[in-house]
Amino acid sequence: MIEHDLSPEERAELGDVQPLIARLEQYAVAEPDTGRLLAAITPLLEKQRTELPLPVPMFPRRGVRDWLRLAWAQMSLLEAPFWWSSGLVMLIGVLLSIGVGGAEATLCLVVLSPLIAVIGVAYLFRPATRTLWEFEQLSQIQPLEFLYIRLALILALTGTVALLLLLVVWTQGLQIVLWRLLLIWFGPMLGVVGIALFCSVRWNNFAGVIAPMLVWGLLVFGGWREIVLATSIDIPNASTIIAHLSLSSTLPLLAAIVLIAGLFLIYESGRSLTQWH
Amino acid sequence: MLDDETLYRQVLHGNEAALIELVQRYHVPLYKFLCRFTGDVALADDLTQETFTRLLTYQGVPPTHFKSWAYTVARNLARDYFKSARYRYERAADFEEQAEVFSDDTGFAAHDRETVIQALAKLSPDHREVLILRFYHDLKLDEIADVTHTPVGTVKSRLFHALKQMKGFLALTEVIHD
Repeated sequence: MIEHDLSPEERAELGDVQPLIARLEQYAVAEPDTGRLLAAITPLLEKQRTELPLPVPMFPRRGVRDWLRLAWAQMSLLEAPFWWSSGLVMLIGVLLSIGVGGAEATLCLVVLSPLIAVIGVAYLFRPATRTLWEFEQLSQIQPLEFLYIRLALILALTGTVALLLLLVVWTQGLQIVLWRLLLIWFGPMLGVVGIALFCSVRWNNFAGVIAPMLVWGLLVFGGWREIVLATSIDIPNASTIIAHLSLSSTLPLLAAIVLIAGLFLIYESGRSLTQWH
Repeated sequence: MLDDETLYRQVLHGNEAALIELVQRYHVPLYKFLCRFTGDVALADDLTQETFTRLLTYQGVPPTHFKSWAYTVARNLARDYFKSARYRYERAADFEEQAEVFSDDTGFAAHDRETVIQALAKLSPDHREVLILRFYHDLKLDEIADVTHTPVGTVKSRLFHALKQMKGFLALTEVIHD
């Protein structure tokens, strides 16, 4: 019953839809000639059997060289504005590190790199590349391969920027527990990238930017509040924040959970993409 | 009885019996959908054949939900046609032709049917496809969302506006007719 799909307010606004339904039922269409259609398309089946390859498996065997070639081809999707903005963020980090000190650069890295990753995902899954994707369906590369290679590109790029910044920090001689800081950096990054990817694939680019930004904003705000409560300092400086992040035992655990959630969302994005196609 | 997805995989492997079964299941619904969506029997016939050709020559991963996917292919072909230069060229001639057809007095039922066709043609393609898929083809809202690549909330809203506009058009034609 079509009226059951409507809300009570919509039903009230439409009034009695039965006369309309009765009118719509008047529109009958004559049956087509199925025999004629079969006669026209059956020869294609023979052609399919003899000439066309069978559907390729979801992940065909590819060598490292093939994956690198695919990654290189997909690099062309990252246009000049993206390189400029990534370079700018890195420059800010390096300047902060040299001019102010290692703590500020590390904090900049922890706070900004997930945002670069989110923007990267939104950029690679923007409407223009979706149109391109329709053409890519004609190739032997599977949609999932495109999805994961694009994601790998973004993570590799963000990871390189972040590691270079860490290297700069390292030369400043700041005392940090490296593995904890790496986990606290990488966990949330993968989490927000998972949200960005899932929203971009399932809904649209706008949702893919707004949802992870909101989540990331809440995480930063929550972390800041926790540090303020723990240290009893109204405005803690960067060194205090880094020391707290690096020494906390709960934050790495939370980051690990977020990392697993991010991986799950990336898997779900792939699943929803294959269903969509 | 085999499900649509298994049947389709067999078709892609060149199984003729599977093709006959799949055509028997989907030819009539896809043709009727295209008839109502385009309002043109000959065009619907062409587009239905083109839909099956696309399904048969497809080389990617078989879909997990064949029904929505088959409607998506048909719907995309029709929408592509509406965007084409050929459609824009033919439409100008069609207006005069349609006026002659609808002026023929062919009885009350035929008049009612033509009124519905005219009212459907006045809906935007977005509204028309949702109404046709829901009312004539009994697709669920989430299936329509899959076919049209839109969220379920948007499908619901389009359905409501389509019904509201249809009610308005049909009420207006009744007043004119009386």
